[in-house]
Amino acid sequence: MQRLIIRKEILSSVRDVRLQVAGIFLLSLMLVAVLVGRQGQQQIQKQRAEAQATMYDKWVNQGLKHPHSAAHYGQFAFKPKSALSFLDVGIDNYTGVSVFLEAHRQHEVLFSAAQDSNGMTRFGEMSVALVLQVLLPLLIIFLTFNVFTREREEGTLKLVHAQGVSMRQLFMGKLWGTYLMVLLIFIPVVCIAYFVLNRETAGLDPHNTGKFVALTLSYALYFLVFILLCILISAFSKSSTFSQLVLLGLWIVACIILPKATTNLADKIHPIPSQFEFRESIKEKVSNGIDGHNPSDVRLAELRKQTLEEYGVSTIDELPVNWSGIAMQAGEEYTDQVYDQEFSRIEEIYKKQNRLSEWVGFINPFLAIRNLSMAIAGTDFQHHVVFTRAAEDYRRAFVKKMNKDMEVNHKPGIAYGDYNVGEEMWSSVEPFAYHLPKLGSILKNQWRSVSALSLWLVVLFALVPLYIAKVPKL
Amino acid sequence: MLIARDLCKDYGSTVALKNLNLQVRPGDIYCLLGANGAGKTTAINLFMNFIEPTSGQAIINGIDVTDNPQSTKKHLVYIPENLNLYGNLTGLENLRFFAGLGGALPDKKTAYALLDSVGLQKEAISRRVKEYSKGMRQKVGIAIARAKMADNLLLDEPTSGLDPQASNDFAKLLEELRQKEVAILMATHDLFRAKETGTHIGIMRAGVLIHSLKADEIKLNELEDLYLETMKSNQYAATDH
Amino acid sequence: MNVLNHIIRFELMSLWRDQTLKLLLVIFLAAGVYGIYFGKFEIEKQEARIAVVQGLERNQFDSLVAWVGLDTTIHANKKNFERAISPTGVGRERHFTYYVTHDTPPLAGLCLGQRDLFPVYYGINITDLARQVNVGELANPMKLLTGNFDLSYVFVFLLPLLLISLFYNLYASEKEGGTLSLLQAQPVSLTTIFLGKGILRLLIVWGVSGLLLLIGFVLQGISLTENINLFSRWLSVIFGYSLLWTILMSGIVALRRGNSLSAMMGLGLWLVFTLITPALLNLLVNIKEPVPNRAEVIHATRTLNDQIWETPRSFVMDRFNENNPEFGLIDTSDFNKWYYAGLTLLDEEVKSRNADIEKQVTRRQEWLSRWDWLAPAGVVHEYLSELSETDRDSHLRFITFLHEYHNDLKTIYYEKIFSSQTFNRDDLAALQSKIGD
Repeated sequence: MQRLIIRKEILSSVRDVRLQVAGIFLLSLMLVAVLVGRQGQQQIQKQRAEAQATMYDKWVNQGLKHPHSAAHYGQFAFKPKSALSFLDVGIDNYTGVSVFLEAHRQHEVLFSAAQDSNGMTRFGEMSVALVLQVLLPLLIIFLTFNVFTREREEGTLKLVHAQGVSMRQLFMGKLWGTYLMVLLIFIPVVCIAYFVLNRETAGLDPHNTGKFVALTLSYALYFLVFILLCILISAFSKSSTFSQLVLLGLWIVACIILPKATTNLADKIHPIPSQFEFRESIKEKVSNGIDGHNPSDVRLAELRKQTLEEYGVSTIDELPVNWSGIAMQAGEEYTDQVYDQEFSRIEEIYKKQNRLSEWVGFINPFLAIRNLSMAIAGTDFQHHVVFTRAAEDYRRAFVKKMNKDMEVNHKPGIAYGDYNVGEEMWSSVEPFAYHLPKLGSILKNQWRSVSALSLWLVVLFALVPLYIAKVPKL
Repeated sequence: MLIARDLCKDYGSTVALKNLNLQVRPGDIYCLLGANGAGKTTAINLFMNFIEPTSGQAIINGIDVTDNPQSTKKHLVYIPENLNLYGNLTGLENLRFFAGLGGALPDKKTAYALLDSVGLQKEAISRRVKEYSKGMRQKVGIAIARAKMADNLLLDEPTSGLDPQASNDFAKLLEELRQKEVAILMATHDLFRAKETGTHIGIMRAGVLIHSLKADEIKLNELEDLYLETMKSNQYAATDH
Repeated sequence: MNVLNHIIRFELMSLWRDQTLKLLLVIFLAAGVYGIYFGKFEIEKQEARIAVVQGLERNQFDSLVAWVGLDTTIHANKKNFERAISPTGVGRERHFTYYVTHDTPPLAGLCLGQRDLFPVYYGINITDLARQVNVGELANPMKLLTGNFDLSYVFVFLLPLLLISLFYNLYASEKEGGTLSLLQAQPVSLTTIFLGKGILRLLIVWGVSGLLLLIGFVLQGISLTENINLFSRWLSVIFGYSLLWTILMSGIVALRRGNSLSAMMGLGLWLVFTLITPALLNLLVNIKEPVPNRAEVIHATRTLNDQIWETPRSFVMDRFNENNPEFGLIDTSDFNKWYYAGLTLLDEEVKSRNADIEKQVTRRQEWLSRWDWLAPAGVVHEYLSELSETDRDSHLRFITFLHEYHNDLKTIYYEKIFSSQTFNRDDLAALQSKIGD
């Protein structure tokens, strides 16, 4: 019985020329998005990997110089473009792609693609995610808005009931029929996408396959939720026009208006300080101490006293080690401490803002899948933070190495220009390598979105037996 | 004056109308009888230029409809089986809109008087049409005819679905128009109404006008016999494929 | 004309009694007013930031002016006096920080454009600009991605939806409502009748858009008399865009399909022109003309800086003297002169590098503008941000201004440095008036 209903649903939809056209259109759009997007991802990743290698090469071959000069010559970290980013570009166009790493200063990750584009860029970039999140639901609406109302309007509903089919069987038949059709469009694209996945970046992200599966499952879940919602609304609608109007209205609100409104609201509730305030606050805390009562000159005097005591001497000149190296590393570490504090504060505000849209996922499944999808694809804010921290850790490590070398090997009494080291030292600093977070930590971070989607599914399925008997048959 | 001259319409191999020849003079009410698909509506649609004839001519006041569709429409009013008007507008406003499109925009007072004269209740005149019954809408249709002072009226089963009272009212309005020298062509299923109202009666079958006679030449029961016999008879079947 | 007039009059009467139309207009107006407030909120945030740095700059400069008059026989005053008169500054925070601000253009709040992607102020001193402009503004990238719900958004995205909902059933409702045959029975052609109805709908949309724009001016406190030219240009862009959608929808009406299919086709067109074609262009441009690697400029700066410090001073002075004969021949003995000459080299280097990078960006824009007719929504948005001076070019003009400003400052400071002079009261007064600009 169930199979018959599913068959009928699929047949009647597949024979509808309008749906054929829409389905083929979406399929080709996704194919273009997959193939062109993957080419773009590869191109960008190649450019960045090359730049990263070139810059490391420059570092290694910078010639003889003082380690502190080298720390100022500095290094670069380029943000790798994750292999799955062609499926969902996420915030990639709005975050910086490279950061200059040198002594004393935390530079920003700079140069987003959006800054080098005109206003067109604000319309978004075509990706499979855009089609799956926004356009495919529209197709689902046109597949489902009249599944019940048309049968009612044409009187076939009575006929079906007369054959002894229960409302629930009919409902489930329509649900699985529609779901099968959506999977029919979705699965081939997934397979092609997996086939063309950039495997050269496997080193960057060894968990590609797991993430790919998770991404596929997330969308499968999202479609099921959406179809259930649509069919439920269709079942309780008086006319096709009405359910079409309601569903399209919901779509516009959920996919177009609510995301903007949510972000704007979040920005209002959790305001972000300006770059100026951020930098001033760091400057102030570095110079006057984190608590405001420990100015830098006092800290320096304290450090000098400690160092002298440690080596049992009474003046700097008598120290067997390089005082500047010690002082500089201490200054570096204090600044790092301040920076971490301030940066975490800003990061926390961003996260609070983003969390709001994750919570709204419980109301709007579009937001849940949007956040989850870009997280798994490695293009969400969390990934940017992880990269920023990795680059900063790398900076601290090599600057510390330079300072340490200066402290130990640059003997007192030797002029700055007369102590030089070379390639052996530079190549002892490993090149910057960065690994994307594991799937587990991504899902943990996105637990709100995952639970939102699951809750939607559970609640909707629970609603079916409760209300199915009340669906009007006439 | 409405004239059909060897008017033919076919859709591929299906003949909808074959060699229709008829003439409706001012002061005539020509009633076309026939079963569904006999070609009555096709004939009216050809006069309205809703469809193009395969051959032959439909002529209104001496003008060929196919050659000059817009100018012939100035001289005629059309009332379909289900006369639908703009629900958001009142009867008065609908009258003024449609008459105005026909180039005869009456002022509000005249329009009111016209609607009153076709028997629309006074309180209904300024109500929105979505609350009107079918009979009330048909009356607005007649009022439009009067406002346009059209001398030709085409009616496609105007009385089907009307209650006897409304149907009777409608017949009276037609009679008034006839006296004002309007040429009226009406497709109908109602033998009784055709005999009572019409001056001429045509019986159609399978696209062919089989009998054409004056209403006062025949009694109602004779008309009924003739009609039933025409419908039964095989002698005209050759026209159908 | 008379017939059209007649049709429009009665159609207006009929539409006006339609609750759906009123509801649509109310929703559209409400969205517009929200957009106006949102734009105002964002702009006020930017202006508050500008005000903070401007205030700081003024206060600090006032101190300098006060310090120049200090009695230096008192020991405690000596340091501040030195800071005021020395073009190279003293102490750790050696140089005075000037804040150059990208002041809010009058219509920025109506179309925020690309302005949120860039800083609206830069804190700079008279050392090299090259390493001072590599800063951004703190912004949540999620917010940048989602975009701004400003008035231009309402016009670009929601206005077509309003038009679609007004037009899609133009034919179908007559057909399904049964009035079509009656219209066909009239001596006026259907084309004329639908033309009249279409014109009225377009006029309604024009009226509402004009009203909304006017509300935008009023609520954001933009002077209409001073910006009447911008107002009319905004209006003509919106009118033209509405006309375009009217023509598209007329095409759909001319197909004479049912309600549901017409609605679907209208929505399909909307998706294609506001969502799909811009997104496809953005995808393709990344492959055709990739984003330049701007880290190369930083790399060039640090390489040159490395050379400056790691090679004999003549490296700097030879180049500097050749390019800047106006300062006379500077010798290598003075650290300060060598130091500032070196910074000048950095700026010259970056200038030529940035020009190369900007060429790559220009190629991106050119590729996009070859195809942007496919994405009218993108074009309209770009027009509006151009008119509001919130587009990328407006930021580039600001950056050009920043360079000029920095150059002017440098000229004043470097003349002193290279002739080993200090500032006097008049010099500071001249600089102070520059801040006031």
